[in-house]
Amino acid sequence: MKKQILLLIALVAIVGFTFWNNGRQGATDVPTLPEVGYKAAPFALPNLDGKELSLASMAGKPVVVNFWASWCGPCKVETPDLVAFYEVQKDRVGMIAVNVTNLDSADDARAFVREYSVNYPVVLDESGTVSKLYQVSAMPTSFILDPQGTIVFKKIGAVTPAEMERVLAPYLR
Amino acid sequence: MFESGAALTVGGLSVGVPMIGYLIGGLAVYLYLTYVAKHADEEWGKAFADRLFSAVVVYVLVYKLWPLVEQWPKLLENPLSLLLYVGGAYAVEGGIVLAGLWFIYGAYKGKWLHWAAVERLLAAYVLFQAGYALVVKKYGPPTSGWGWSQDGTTYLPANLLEAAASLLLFGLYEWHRRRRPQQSLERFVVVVAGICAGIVF
Repeated sequence: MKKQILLLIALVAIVGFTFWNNGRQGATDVPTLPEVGYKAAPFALPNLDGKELSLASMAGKPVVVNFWASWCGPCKVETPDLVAFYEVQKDRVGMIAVNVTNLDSADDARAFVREYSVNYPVVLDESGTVSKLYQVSAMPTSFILDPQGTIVFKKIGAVTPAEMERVLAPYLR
Repeated sequence: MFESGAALTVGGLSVGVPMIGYLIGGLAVYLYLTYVAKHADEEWGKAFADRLFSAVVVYVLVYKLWPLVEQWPKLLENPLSLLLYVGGAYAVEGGIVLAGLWFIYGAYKGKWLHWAAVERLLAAYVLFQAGYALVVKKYGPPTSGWGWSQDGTTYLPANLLEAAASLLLFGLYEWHRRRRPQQSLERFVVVVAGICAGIVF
């Protein structure tokens, strides 16, 4: 019986070592996917004034990427929290709100921005390309990227200020 | 196997792939636990399975209602807005603690708070992991061999390796349990070591 147990332990050790070795080989070379632990896909979209804004322009600091639409209830609930958060953290945290314009309209997006006094950059995804790239199936969907552009948090649904503070705390010290 | 960001859409209903993974893993665990309880003729095994799944319900409820804890001032300002939130900064931890307490209370009350129950819980966790990994794609480091392709690069199919490792561990556990149905410290140690290896690596 002891031999069998030793055999079991050896097998477990082999499996563990395989994972460990695989993990070491390419820890810095992760694919681009809209999931936690992967690199965020680069994109550039026009803002409400028509000027192009890219994700790359915010490199070097953590970034919140928020997909939203003007008709979405939870988006309306979370926007005042996002505005208050950005007001305090705008020097240390980047934020891009991607309006999924192919399921909304640019005029409604502008009206929403005025109504909620949105103070962070808003871009229009008129073709839906970026929301498809980020596999956005419901709104709001938020991603938080570390300063290296790796996704460290993803949430489908309204984000709370406490959640953002908790995720971003390691990068704001 | 499916991308974790994909969703199964039928009419207006959209179910994300991770949710399908949880359901498949949960179904595998349910079938396993009921099978073992029936064949081993254990009264506690059935109570164990019932309590485990009610603990999952407790977790889901706590997660959904967590905004009441974290954003309680909104309860006075705009209570209906709380329905539009789910989770929060510590919702996962809160859910796990309360579901765990619910499970332990059931075990204590039903007098099955013993090592065999802990061992079975760990085996259920391993089987759940295997079920989830068989559904949801996970990319490992780049490889020159076979794997998941993304933007012209091939990556090791990490979820397949996880599923294989989990199924191997579960198979070893089940093989040993059938040979020695009584709770065994060695078996317990092997399962814990396997889970730790999976978490660390």
